[in-house]
Amino acid sequence: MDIKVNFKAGGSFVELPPQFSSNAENVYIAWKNRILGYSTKTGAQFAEFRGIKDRIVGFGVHYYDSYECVTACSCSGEIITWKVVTFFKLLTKTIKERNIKTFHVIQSEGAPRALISFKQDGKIVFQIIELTLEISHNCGLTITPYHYQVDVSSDKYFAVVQKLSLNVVSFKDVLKAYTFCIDSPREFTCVACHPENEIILTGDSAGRVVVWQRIFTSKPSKAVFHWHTLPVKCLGFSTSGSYFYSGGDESVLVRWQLDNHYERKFLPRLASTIAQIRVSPNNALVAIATNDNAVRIVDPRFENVSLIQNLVIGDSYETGIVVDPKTKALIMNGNVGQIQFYSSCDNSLLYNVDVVGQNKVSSERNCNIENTQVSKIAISKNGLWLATVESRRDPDYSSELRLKLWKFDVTIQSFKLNTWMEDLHENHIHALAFQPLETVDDLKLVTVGGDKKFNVLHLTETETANSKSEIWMGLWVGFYHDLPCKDLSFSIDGSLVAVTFGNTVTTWLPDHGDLKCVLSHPMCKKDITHVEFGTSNQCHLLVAASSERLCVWNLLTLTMVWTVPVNVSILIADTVTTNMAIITKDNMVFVFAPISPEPVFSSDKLLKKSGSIYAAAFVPSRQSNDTKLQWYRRSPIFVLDAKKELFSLGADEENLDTPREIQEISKSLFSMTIPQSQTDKNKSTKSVEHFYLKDIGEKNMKKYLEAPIQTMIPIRIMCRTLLTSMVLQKP
Amino acid sequence: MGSFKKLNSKIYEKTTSVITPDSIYWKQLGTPVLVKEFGTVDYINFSPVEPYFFAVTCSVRVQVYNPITKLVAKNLSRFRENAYGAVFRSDGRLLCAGSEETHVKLFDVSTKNLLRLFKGHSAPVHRTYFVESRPQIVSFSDDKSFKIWDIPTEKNILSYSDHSDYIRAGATNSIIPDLVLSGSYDHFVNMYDTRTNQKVLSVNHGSPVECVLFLPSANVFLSAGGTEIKVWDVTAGGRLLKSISQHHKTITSLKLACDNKRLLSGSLDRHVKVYDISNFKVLHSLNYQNAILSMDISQNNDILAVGLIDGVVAVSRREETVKVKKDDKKTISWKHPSKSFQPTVDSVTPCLNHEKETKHDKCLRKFEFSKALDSVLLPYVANKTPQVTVSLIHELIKRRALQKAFTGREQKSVAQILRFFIRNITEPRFAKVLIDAANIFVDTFEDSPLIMDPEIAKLLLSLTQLLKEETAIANDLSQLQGAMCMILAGAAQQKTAAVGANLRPVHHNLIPSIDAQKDLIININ
Repeated sequence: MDIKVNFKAGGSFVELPPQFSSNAENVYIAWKNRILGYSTKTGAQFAEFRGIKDRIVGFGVHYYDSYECVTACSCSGEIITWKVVTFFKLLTKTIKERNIKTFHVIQSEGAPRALISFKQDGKIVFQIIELTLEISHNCGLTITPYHYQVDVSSDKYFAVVQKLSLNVVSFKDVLKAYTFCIDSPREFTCVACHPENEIILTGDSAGRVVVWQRIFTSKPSKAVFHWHTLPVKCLGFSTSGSYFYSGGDESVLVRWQLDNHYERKFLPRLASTIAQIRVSPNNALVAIATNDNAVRIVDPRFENVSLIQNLVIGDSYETGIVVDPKTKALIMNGNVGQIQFYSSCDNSLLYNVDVVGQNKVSSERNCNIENTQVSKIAISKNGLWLATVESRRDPDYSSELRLKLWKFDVTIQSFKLNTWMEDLHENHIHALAFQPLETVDDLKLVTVGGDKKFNVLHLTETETANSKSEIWMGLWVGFYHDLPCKDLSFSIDGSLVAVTFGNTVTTWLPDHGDLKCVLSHPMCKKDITHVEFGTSNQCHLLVAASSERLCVWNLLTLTMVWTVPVNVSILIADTVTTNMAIITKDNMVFVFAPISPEPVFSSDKLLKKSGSIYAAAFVPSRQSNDTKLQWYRRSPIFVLDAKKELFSLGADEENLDTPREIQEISKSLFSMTIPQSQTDKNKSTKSVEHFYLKDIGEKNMKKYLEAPIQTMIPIRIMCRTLLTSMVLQKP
Repeated sequence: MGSFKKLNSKIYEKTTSVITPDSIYWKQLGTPVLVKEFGTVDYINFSPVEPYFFAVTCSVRVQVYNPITKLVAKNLSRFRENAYGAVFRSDGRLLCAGSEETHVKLFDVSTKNLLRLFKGHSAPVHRTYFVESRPQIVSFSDDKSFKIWDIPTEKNILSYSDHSDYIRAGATNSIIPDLVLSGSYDHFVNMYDTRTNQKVLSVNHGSPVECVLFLPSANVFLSAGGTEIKVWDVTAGGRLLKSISQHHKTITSLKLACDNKRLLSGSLDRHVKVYDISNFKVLHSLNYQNAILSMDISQNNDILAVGLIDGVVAVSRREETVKVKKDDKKTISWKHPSKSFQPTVDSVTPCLNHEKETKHDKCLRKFEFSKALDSVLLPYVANKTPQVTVSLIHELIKRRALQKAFTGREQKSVAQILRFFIRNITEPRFAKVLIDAANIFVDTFEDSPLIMDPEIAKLLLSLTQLLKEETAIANDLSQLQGAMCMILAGAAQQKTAAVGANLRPVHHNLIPSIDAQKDLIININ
């Protein structure tokens, strides 16, 4: 079987600062092993520079032979320079040093140079390399291999901060390093160099920004700019260097004036904490990279210009992956208190829905503040109703637990809040599911809570004399022997609901609350954590999984059909086929049909590298209706791992690597004189050739189309003659 | 970047009923004036002519009240025993009433003279009605019969005795005077046609009938008894159209109002409910302090009189709020630019209407927690919209800032906080947050010299006392709930046992007795 792990989305977008082109029209962002180019005006992607195999550790935009180029370096020492206009590789080079940690292009008039740092013999060594030649100069600075930050001031000097020390090295005399220290407990967190002058900014863990001047003397002068309470995470100088920006975990961008620390301007309430700041060379734009995997481009007056947003990376992925039946989008946790709709077909973020509707509160210096998070999502079969559970676990005081029900409003094409319920359960809602019915009236929703009870809600109409409105109301509450309940599943027709209680599975009628059967076996000792009903011809089978075994029950005979000892961490069911999949604690994948214990597919290698798996789901693909295709082409499994990267287990996809159409972005006078399309009059026009000749197939076609439906022979008999009539027949 | 999201106080808001035009209309009736009578009020009837005097029948007399002054205008007390069911004739001049002494009495309202005395019933007569446009009276009696009397001759014309129990309800129709309804404690409502002298229709209400009512068209009638009102279709031969059960105790009276567009029902559960006659949905509900025995509304819907079981008549009168229309004065001020002026500039900057930000939102935005708490502890906010105060306290707890906001307060402000706790901590919707807040309060002020202040100490003591009482109540209630759960579980078990008995094969746990074991027969073939 040719099942492969395909990388889909995710991964950090903001590990390296974004880089502007010289005219500030484009911004380049490093993402894993590629550089993406975006237009700053529209936020649309126009280029993708590929070729580097490993993770990029640094890149820069510079001029080479008077062309604007992008140069990137991977951690294994591979350096590629692309020409921006044509996307051609100008230079490729592999340096012999491995374990490259940082890479900075030195902006200068002459031959392109770069500053790299790498780990050698347990120490971090700095080196200046010529990009075109095989020359490198070692610097007279080595530091211990702890976390450090580097910044380069055009072609004058560079600065390195690590823990308590700031090191400055001039490019004129690379062997001499100036080192300055601060007192603990403060530690340096980031550094920025003035583009022209000998001024360095450092941020520290106490939230102060220190401006260092006269740095090539033994006694530099310092000035303190203090506003942040949390550690400063990033700094950015304006091009002329008269003001600078700082950002941190408060999600507030601060603009400081270098000569007056009372003059500051704020951009509050960014969607997430700030990771990187970069000012465009012409001072026209500021790029703010935030930790939700977005780059916001703002102008110096802090007006929004554009937003470049990738798959949102939030703090939690508690909701798992839910597939929206209407758009086939993946619904996941997004920013704090929001959920995102991510389209798996074209790998783009569709939209975010703010579920909680509260301000995000950032932590304070010595107390951690919990924000309300979305913890569970369920969507009805017709995609009309969305249920969200939001919770805030408070260690000291009473917690919050809220169930919200949203209805899709067709006119505004978005979800609208319909009902909310406070503290439906006492502790937590472990699972919730809608009755899988297409009809809207008397739809039911079952929530399984941490208070050993499950709640059945139903959709009713409240009627006053003048208005009618839909509302969700509690119908009944179920419990069984004071056993903890963990999961639930509806049968395919919605007439039966299975709820796990301890090591037993119970089935109930959702309408009246009658207990239909209780399934338990002395072999099952651990609490059952997952339960799923089979679909189509296996709808009488019930799959229950715990941390010790997977077992399948037959509901007609009330017997166990088969059981396998396996430590299940995720159990998912496909909506297209009858397949189900389990992912074990040690990342083995089994795809099986409930009717037989023989797995359809199993692998212990596919997810070996991924670390722990947060969530998984079968996502119907575009060809999901083609029953002839293999299961993994109809609905591949999407997996979200601990690195917050989204993968699919499915057929090998090469379409991601197909080169995009190269857009002409050159706006030179000459290029404008070239017409967009050319016709050559010398060429003779060819007549269009059809696949089949008209006369031959026409009779069969007519027979097929015009015969009354009740007299027609079955299509499977006719099909052959019809198709052969349409096959290309050479005259 | 993102705009500041306002504090959401809706979580703690009371669920309010939707305001409908009907609820506004019925709320205009205002608070009732209470008039004390002797004995229970048996029946109330409004005179159909202005100024809508109403007759209250209670104990041994019928009193006619002036609805405006709420004073007794006439007192008809020529009864030896209890009087029952006094009604006005359609011109308001005559009044007839039944009585314990089995007679039906006809009075002239203006002179209070007894005009006729109809003798013939053998048991108390509870309801009497005039027959519209005929000189006749119908009387419904506890002797299980009802009689039609001719007023001029004082003679009994017709008598029907089909019922097997007391007849306590009846009705005549104003369009077809030949139809008479009788409702009895034997659960049946019968309809008679006096032209054919026959019972036309008989329907089973299901419980003792307390009141019957014709809709004006006479093809539909309603019967009330038990907790249900039933709607019957006459033309379809007594088909049950609808059954309304909105009360949880016996319904005692039915009346039409608002030009027959609304139905009113009074019940022993102390409510008068207003229904839409087209769909019988409840539009409004009026509460009284005691069980309602009778109720009537004047023809212009302005006066509602309700007789209660403790002899109180509650009379409420619609208060017309006259709107004083102010003259539109010409506004000449720099604030109001004249509308005739057309700007002739190149670009116009529109005036942006910024959303108003409340004081506490502004303080929260600027992280001024103490100020924010101050702004919601103002008496106007704390008394009128306690949910705003509670939601701010919740937000401060969430931000771990309540302790900071509590510290550094003066005695007056601390007393304010304590008073807010005392007033609201028992409210279920606030309890969770305020208990947390009170804990933080105690933590903050544990070592503060402020708690030695006599006023603060007093408030703290009363808060403790309140919480003790509350826990005692909660304990009692959970005990009661436990007891109820036992009963419910028992009932459920019996049900399943009953179901099980039908389905399962019967197993027995009998073992053969000693005699049976001894009775051994061995077959030898």
